[in-house]
Amino acid sequence: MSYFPNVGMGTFIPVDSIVHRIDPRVKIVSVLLLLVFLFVSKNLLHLMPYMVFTGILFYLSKIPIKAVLKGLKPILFLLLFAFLFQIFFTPGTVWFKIGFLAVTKEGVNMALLIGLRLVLLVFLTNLLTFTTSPVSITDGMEELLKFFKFLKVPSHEIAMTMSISLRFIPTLFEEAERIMKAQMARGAEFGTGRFLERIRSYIPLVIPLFIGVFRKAEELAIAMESRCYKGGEGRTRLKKLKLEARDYIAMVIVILFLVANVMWGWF
Amino acid sequence: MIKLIDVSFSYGDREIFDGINMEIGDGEWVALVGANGSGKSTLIKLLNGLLVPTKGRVLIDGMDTRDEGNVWEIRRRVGVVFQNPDTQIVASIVEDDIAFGPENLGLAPEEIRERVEQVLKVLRLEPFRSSPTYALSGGQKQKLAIAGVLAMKPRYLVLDEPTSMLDPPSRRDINKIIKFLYDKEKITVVYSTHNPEEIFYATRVIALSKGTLFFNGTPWEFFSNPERVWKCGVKLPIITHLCYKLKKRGLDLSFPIFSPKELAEELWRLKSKM
Repeated sequence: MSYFPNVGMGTFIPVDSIVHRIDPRVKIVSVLLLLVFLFVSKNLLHLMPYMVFTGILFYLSKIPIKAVLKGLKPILFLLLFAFLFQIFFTPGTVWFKIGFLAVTKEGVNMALLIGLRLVLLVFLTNLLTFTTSPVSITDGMEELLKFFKFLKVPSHEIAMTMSISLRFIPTLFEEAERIMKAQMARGAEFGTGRFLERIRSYIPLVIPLFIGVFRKAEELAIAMESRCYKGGEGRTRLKKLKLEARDYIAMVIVILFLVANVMWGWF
Repeated sequence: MIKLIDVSFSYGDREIFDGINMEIGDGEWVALVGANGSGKSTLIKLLNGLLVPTKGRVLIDGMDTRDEGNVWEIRRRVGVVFQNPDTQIVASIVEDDIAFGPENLGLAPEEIRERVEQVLKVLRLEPFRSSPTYALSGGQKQKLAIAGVLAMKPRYLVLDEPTSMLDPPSRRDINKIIKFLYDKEKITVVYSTHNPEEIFYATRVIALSKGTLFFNGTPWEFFSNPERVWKCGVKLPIITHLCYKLKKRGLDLSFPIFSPKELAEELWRLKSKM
């Protein structure tokens, strides 16, 4: 039995679609731009095109609708809280009253705006992680961070750290599982009792896991040095990211969409 | 040629080696044996400059490992595979991991691609080229570790107990690959192990004990003295052990014997003398 099924791929859903095939850099930049503009727009009406646009992208990506909706699960509570808070605690013209709680027109507007923004935030970031493997996201980040070289941003080091972390997630889960089973065989119980006891019960898992991590880190460093790793200087890549026609087209579409949306706000 | 001249090494106050001399020529297969803590792993780290001797010199094709300028060329020539496959794999995808070494050497992408293909083929890892590395079995992971080293085209393949964490079928598989590389690719092999069968692949056995060179000779010579074998933390092959026991009980057998057939023939000879 496995306590941690299906880790390591993150949330990546490997199907073949046009969205999957777009260069990771284009996808990262597009999502970032869309998010910025999404949070700048103050008009509820202006969020509608974002909904439609995101919907089209999801349709093109062939991601099952179930996975899309499941992505909202972790933020459901936050969503509800923010929604109710805005509805009841925004001052303005009173629409109607429930007991002592006043629902204002501005409140409803604000609640919908914030709720929609949150939902779109999750949809857009999920669109990126659903359609791009962790490895390509890392590669894309490395290339993008190179633009900040003049700020002395260690782009290679950041990317290498990210990719090694990704690589070791499944290994560490495996190790955690092994330790848990070993400790359970000796009578340890995990996650029972009151709050403090429950936290304390994880110590027999966490301590050996940490010690193991440090040992692994050292062994890995030795193995990397043995394979001539000396940092990003003078290093080449097997797979070089290359922008193709469809990538430029995708970028242009996103920018046109944003420009159109901003101009709509002006008039 | 790998040459150790009067090499001493210590971790702080703890002395590991004191004045070791040895040579490993091209085309040799050296089995490195010794009990746990005898310094095998330290010796291996001295060979590719991960450690430098506190006294004496380690020369790889004439290049001194203490010379900073040589260190990357030495590491390219002396490829090291370690015991734990899990902590040698850097990338999440098989072919990316094989490419890691060549990428570090700064080779052109086409050249890297060519080498990756070559190594995938030699080690029969082609079906796994795009697999995530965590999904491989222990034996396949160790194969991948060997692949990653081979892609740098080393002259010397140094393996630090590469099969000790594997099950017997994977172990045989790894040994077959190393044998192939030794026979066909003419790569020089240094192989540290406790396993008697693996020692027999070697052309020469070097045994370490308490920081000194304890034995240097053929596998046959090595196994002819059981006390010496045990002192190195190695067991006798089962047949040899049986032969040793029978001899101790007073049977007039020749020693050592390594194959069941030989033993049967010896026993037959004894029987016919009776």
